[in-house]
Amino acid sequence: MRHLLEIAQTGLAAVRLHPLRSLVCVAALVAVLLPYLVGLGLSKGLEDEAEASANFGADLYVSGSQFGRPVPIPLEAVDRVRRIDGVTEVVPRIVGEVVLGKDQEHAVLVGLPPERFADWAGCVEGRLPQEDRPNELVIGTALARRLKLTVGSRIPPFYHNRQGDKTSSVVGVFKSDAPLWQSRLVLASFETAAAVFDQPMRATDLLVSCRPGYQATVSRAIVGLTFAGSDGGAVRPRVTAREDLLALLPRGLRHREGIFTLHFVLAFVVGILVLLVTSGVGLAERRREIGILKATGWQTDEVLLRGLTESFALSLSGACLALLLAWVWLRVFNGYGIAGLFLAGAGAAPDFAVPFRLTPIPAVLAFVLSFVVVLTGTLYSSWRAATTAPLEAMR
Amino acid sequence: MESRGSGLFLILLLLAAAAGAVLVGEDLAQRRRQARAEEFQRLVGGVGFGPALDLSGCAFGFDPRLDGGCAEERGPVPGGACFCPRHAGSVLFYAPLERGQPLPVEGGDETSP
Repeated sequence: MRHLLEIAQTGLAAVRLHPLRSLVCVAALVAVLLPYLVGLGLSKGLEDEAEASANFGADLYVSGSQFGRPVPIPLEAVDRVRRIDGVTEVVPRIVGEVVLGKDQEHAVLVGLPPERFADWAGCVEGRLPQEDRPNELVIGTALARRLKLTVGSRIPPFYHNRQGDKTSSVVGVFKSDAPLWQSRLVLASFETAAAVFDQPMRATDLLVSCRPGYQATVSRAIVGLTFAGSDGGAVRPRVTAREDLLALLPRGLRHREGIFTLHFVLAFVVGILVLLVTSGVGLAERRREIGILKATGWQTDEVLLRGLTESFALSLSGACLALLLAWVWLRVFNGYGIAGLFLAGAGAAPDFAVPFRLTPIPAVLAFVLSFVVVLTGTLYSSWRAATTAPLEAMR
Repeated sequence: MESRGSGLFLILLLLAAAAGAVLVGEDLAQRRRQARAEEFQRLVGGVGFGPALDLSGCAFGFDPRLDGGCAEERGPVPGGACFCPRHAGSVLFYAPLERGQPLPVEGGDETSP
């Protein structure tokens, strides 16, 4: 055992015998592994955020449908849904798009009844809109930065309402460590949102909470209802259950992660040639070195063990460096430059904490892939040199 | 030779320990992020699901609860799913919500038309 450890130690020393070759080999590994780890980290982070969005939202989301397309749902639906056995709470909500500022910043306006809001929320700097005060807004970090708004800022009328346009005030700004969807969100009371869109007595969806075990029954009962639309036509309800959303995650995100991994396997195939060259194939010095070792009494398996240790050291350092750099890129630099490739509208420097999660599985996979590639180059050249006569190898 | 090997072994140990610390630290940070995400999602009633940050162009890319499918999806055309810039190049893909009910011949559901 001691003998094997001593041979392994010479393998580590061999890494430093050819410092340039080792550096190029590690750099090539980092160049291939870094975008792979960053991409999977972002994907995993968003998956977690999406899961939280489904888990901590309502049990059922009821929206309207006409001609198979989504339409607002009349508020008369609130009482009718509330009367269904198993329903504990029905909250109307408005979600729509508004455009703010001279640079036409797109924002998502969410309106909810203010009695639903607590007095204070940890994810908001400032306070939440209050019941008796219309036109109070909480805005996202990207909007606050781009429109130069802070708590207490006034926003001139940005919408047209038949009852008259009003000035709005910013009472809170979401904190940047809240989920990414806050960045362009505007949170307001239901009445304020209805006034902004000039759509009284209508909501975009109803948030329905059910007693445990009643979700499927309530869902079926809601689908059987029909509501009267403002144009006199029927509005049919569409129900999205929490389980429907959660079912999308394993099917979609993991499928795409698989494709992403496949792309990087292909990148590795291309990188193999570079790595094979840098890790030993055709290296005359290595051949001479092994010839000398053989001449001094080393066995072929000892030479191969030395090469194995060398490959292990190179691939471990490459994989660890790639993981550390991925962490620095995502945590310290907040995914500068790369987050915009994966998150539409994020830009080069995101205004929110980029969601990411570095997990052990991609890190281990990265190490195994790099070990296999480096090992192929080192072992093949070592084996060829070790199986020829020492005199021939040293020439 | 021996000191060279020992020095590199120490560097390797440090790198592996730092990588392990990052993975453990991120696991702890993830719990804090989850708490903040829970608070936000309970406040707004569940908003956001996909890689888009607003509703311009593709509400489905922002949240499939608002629109069940991508309007720019050209599925039967090879690569048709890539026409929408809200999904192109993204690793954060998810399929449209299935809203149809099975017909009697498909599933024997008594609520079917």
